[in-house]
Amino acid sequence: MYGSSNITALPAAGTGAALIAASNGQSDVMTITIVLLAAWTALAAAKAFLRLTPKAEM
Amino acid sequence: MFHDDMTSTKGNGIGQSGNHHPLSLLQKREAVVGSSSDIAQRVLAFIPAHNEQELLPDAIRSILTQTVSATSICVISDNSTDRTMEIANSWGSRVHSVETVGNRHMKAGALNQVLSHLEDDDETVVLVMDADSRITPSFIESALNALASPKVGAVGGIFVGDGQNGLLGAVQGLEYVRYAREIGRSRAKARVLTGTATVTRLGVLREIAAARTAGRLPGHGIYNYDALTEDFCLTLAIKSLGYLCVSPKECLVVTETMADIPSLWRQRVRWQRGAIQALHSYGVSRITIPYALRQIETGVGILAVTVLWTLTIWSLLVGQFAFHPAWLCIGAIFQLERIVSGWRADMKGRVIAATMLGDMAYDLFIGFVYVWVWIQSLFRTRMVWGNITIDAARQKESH
Repeated sequence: MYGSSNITALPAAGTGAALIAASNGQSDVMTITIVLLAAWTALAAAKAFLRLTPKAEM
Repeated sequence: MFHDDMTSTKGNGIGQSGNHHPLSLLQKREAVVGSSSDIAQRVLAFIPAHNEQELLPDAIRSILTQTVSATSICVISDNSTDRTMEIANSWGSRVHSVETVGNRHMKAGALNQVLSHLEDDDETVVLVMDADSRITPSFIESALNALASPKVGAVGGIFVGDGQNGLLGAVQGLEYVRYAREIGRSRAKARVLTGTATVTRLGVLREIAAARTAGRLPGHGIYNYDALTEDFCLTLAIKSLGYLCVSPKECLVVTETMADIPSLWRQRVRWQRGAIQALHSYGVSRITIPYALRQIETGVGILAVTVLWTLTIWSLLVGQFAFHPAWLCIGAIFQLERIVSGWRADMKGRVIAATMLGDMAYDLFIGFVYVWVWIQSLFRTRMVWGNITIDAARQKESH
């Protein structure tokens, strides 16, 4: 209930490896899965970045 | 709902009253403790306690040392077999004590037995605080300031870990620090009114009970004793009635962290299952949708991280693994966020945040809890841990 993120640095960094693998003759389903995954990871990274920005706390 | 004979009182003379119920007398004893500010509201503090002889004195002391005093303090001993009552009675006239009678509904039942006896009064607010917690000195004053707005129905504490229990305690403390930061950044809006310490208007509690009796809100009683997580249910109830729930940054409450993995597992399974139960009982509404979306986001996140790990390992096995600069940067954003958001933790917490592995292990644990509870919920199994049912587990944790 209280956790804020469940994607952490290492697997996110591994997304690049997965994308490279997907570009090497994998099936369409696999490629779509990995692209969706990359999109989700990028979205989560954007949220994480926003949490880094200064904001007044109340 | 509850009758006078369901609650017995002991000690400090309040049990010997003649024409009035002892708790109504307690409500009127504002001059005993008095208020050190101009704030007119009366603050009745209640500490439900089940075998809390060790930590109860610290909890009481933290209320007695507030910048704005509580009008009265009442320890509600629920089926205690240790010296809880004796300790509560040892504070003289400053602290009252009550014992529940025939309560089978744990903390919620204990609170309902007492709160249902309080007289209606628009100026009264109720502080309910766990016996294993301690509030910071300006807690009540800050809560009253927040409650000065009629839109605010309740003020929940922001909990911090007690710094005990080694690495496991530190990682929980780190989680609490991050949660507090998120609350602060969301303009103090409380996601959950923590059971560890919450101040609520008595009138709002009355509204909840009336709405439940009329069928406008799910559950029974002021504190819903059917709920696995009565604090989350209270939050949904108050928000459903149109009030705001806030957690100002000054309202800190120091609470125990779980000492071992099985205890932590039980606690988190109960929280997660309680959240699903409450959302299900409240149905789809503008209040529940944000919580439901959070559940979905967590689920997708867990699925994503599982697939990420699988693909990363797979790419290693087939010899196609290579670091890609752009994704390394994205990984760095996650890691930086973990460090920055956990910076207010103690040194152990900072080290855990900086070294990455502790966070990953903890996220994995929370992910297991989430998946386990959803599987249980979908198959409608009764919550059991080892030989302990959820009721027994809740009894151990919630007081």
